[in-house]
Amino acid sequence: MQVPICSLIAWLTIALFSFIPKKLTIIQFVFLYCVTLILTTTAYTIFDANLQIVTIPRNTTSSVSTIISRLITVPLLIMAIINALQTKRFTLSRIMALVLWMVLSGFDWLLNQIHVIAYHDWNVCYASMNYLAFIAIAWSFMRWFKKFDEGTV
Amino acid sequence: MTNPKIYDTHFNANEWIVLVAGVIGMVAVLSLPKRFPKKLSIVYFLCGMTFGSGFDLTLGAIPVSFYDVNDRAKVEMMDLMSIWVYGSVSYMFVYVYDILQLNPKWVPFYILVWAVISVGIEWIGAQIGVYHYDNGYGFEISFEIYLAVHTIWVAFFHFMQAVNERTS
Repeated sequence: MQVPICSLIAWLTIALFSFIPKKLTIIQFVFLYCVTLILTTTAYTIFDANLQIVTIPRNTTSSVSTIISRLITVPLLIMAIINALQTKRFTLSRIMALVLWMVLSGFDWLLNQIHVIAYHDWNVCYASMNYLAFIAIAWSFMRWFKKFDEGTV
Repeated sequence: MTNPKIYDTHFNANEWIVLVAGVIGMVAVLSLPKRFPKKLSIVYFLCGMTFGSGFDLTLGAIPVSFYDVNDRAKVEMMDLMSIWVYGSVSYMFVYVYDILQLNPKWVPFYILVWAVISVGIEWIGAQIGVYHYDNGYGFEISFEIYLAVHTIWVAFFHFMQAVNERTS
């Protein structure tokens, strides 16, 4: 059931992403997807291969589920959070960002429960802090990138 | 859990080639005459890094490791530098593509030429110890991956140019 669950969640994430009001341009979203994917894949591989604190069982279903989650669900949720944070005031969208962060952490917990990944000396609190770090880094890069709307390299 | 493979423990040819390629790539990217808005240049650079990290760290690594990069089957600083090099390649790819303004019927040929060049660079990398193949992987598979990835880059380039023209 790992692959159907991860596929369904990925699809729901795509649906959610298509519904949310967009505060970033397409180019900014593309940039954000690239940054998020590079960041998360590097970090996950370090956790798996180097530190062995969040490992991926080397079977086909776990791997396919992991790939779906890494390429679709996690980046899109982080992008949705960064999109929601594009406001200066404490509004509903900020609460939305908080909820999505909890959803992201809950998703990580679910991946452990259905044996897509395996926690070793790791728990959902660490995972949520880890996602918070991803969000902070991606947000910082987004802020930097928004300055380049004009000019040429 | 198995111990990750170790191919080499010294700072030698494979590290040097990655460093030199990284520096040459960045110098080339920064010194070429400007063709794109800054934001698009960054996105084209990141495009290569994204595909590089996606393949090296995810698709090429699980469920079985088809290849390892540099000295160990772990993430090392030089592996991150290798991903950086992919950024220069994707930027150069779209840069030359934009200069040539190819007739659509020549685009498959352009992609083929770049796939051959990429396999050539990968072959040199494999000889020096940047890439270590496993589980039946080899150049013949890389070649198809390059064809597919470069085709996506062409589509991506046209999409981004269209989006930029529509919004600017």
